Amino acid sequence: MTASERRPRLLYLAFYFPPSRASGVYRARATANHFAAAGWDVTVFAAPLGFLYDVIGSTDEKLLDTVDPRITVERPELDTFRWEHELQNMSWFRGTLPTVSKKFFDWREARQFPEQYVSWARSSVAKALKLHRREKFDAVLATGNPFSAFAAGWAIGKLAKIPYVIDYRDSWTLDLFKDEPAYPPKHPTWKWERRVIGKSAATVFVNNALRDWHADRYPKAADRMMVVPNGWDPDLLELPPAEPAEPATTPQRPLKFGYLGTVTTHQPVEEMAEAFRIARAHPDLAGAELNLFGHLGFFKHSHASFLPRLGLDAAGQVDPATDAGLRLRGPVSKTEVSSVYADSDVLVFLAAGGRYVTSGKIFEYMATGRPIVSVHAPDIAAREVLEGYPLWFHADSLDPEKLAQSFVEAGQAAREAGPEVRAAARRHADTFKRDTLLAPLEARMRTLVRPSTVQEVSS
Amino acid sequence: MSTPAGPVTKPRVVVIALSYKLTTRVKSYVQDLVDAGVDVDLLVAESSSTQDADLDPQVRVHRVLDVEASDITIRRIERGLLFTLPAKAFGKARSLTVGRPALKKVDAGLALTRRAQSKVSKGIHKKMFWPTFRVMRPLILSRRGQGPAVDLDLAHADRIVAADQPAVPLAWRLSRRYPGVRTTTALDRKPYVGDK
Repeated sequence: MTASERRPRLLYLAFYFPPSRASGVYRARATANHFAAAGWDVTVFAAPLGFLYDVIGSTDEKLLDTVDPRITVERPELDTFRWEHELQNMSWFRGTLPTVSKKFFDWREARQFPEQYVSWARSSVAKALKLHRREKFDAVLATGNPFSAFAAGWAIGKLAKIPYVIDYRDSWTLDLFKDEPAYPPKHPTWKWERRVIGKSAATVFVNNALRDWHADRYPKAADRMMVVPNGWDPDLLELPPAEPAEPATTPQRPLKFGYLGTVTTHQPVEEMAEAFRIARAHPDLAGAELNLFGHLGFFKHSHASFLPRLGLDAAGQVDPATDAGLRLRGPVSKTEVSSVYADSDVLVFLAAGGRYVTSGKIFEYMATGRPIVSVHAPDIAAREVLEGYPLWFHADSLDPEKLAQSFVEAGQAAREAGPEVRAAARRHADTFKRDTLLAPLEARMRTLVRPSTVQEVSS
Repeated sequence: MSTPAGPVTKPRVVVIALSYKLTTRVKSYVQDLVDAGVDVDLLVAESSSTQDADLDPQVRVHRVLDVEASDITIRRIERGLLFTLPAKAFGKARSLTVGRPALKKVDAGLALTRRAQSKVSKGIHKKMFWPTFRVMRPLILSRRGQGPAVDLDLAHADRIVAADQPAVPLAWRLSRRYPGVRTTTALDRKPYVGDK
């Protein structure tokens, strides 16, 4: 009989996991893959497929293929009461007394956890304990949102007596756009946050500003808080050549600026449009275009309100009287992203929010090695990852004149930057590869595993 | 030689909305369906539900009741017991006391009692009757609405839409009666309007 090492078992609570293509899914996918590659036996608890296909309707089957096959994915049940619209599927109670049944449902949810995914968290706890009885987990990692995953992590940790770590992929109690608490002081969310952070073995944030805000509120847990920025996924991004397909130095060729992502109401779009209009007066930017790839707003009809703000007419076409050089190119599929980057000379980092916002997009931008122009509030948290990127141009202001100067400088860099500068830019981006960033979290979690639990006697 | 095309059947949707007034959400849904060429039957609670609603004339409006306050027995009884009868009783009594100096104190007592009674009646109506009735109303309308609904030839409808919470019990009953017709609470325009 010899003593052999058993792989540490991780239970990862990640509601949004492939085939979901919600924005947070990339961090969850990368985390699970990283732990599996690092030798962990990973079990992921994710949202039920029925919910992803029938309720959310936002899925990407190809993303599922990028999940490490060694990972076990379980899908605990979610009570779809609030999303059920078909009368044929409703019970007698709900069909006959809709008001009473809704009140009962709301009451039952609210007394457990103040969030609509609590039923999934409840099923997760039950399923985790069942699996734990069969074969012990060594640690739990929960990512939010939904934040009921944190509550589930806390409950599993308590009942199974194993350490748990919570990953604030998103902000919970802080409103990122107003820089103020998202809930009134007596709201039950605060009690839950105090509880889950207080007992967690580690609490993870995506940037230092968020970590500091939480450390101020929960000083006793501050030494257990860490930062794991979002980073970029080399296996999902086909990097364009360092130089644009058609060099910007080609005489007379107008420069192509690009923005990739959804344009939202919180972003400083007017300032961007005005700055670009001013910048185009500069000879280096003559005839330059700023191509917007993505949706305007999150809803079907929301694009109408954006068009005049972007200097475009009601049909999204260029209005000669107000033309600022902006062009709507529409949404692009994941497979076209690389060609968008390849065709752009300069990337525009248009971002909403203030000092707590990093934005996942910036990591991909840096990975391309293209000049980046910042259009956002000067104290945004994304600064901390852009510092040191040699082709970053920022005005530290939303004043259109100053922003225009940044556009001009970035345009000049697109024409003049040599291979060394571009290589240095890519080297900077390499430090934000997802695996590099996840390594400290994996190391921290490894320290939480009790050595006795990974020693098993085998014959 | 070309074959003459058969008659094109328009899709048909039965919308049930049993709140006291049509909400903007329901009105806009019905209008979008009409604009998309859908045949719409709208079943509402009473005649006043569509008052000032400015509905498209192509929408066929049907009613469960004429006037809910008088057509539903429990509401009639409640109004009679709490308001009409006491008003009549006090009116009669005071007609005997008003203007008679000898009965001045009795009259003042009656006026005070009347005010108290009115307050109590309003309290019972607001705090006891109305919350209970609000829960029971969809059930009552689901019983009373079955007749008018069945008259709408639901078996040949594309879908039945319960457009508000009070419409759910009636629509739920109809979903059991017509399992082949999609019955939903979703105001989904997509099948008719597309992604416009």
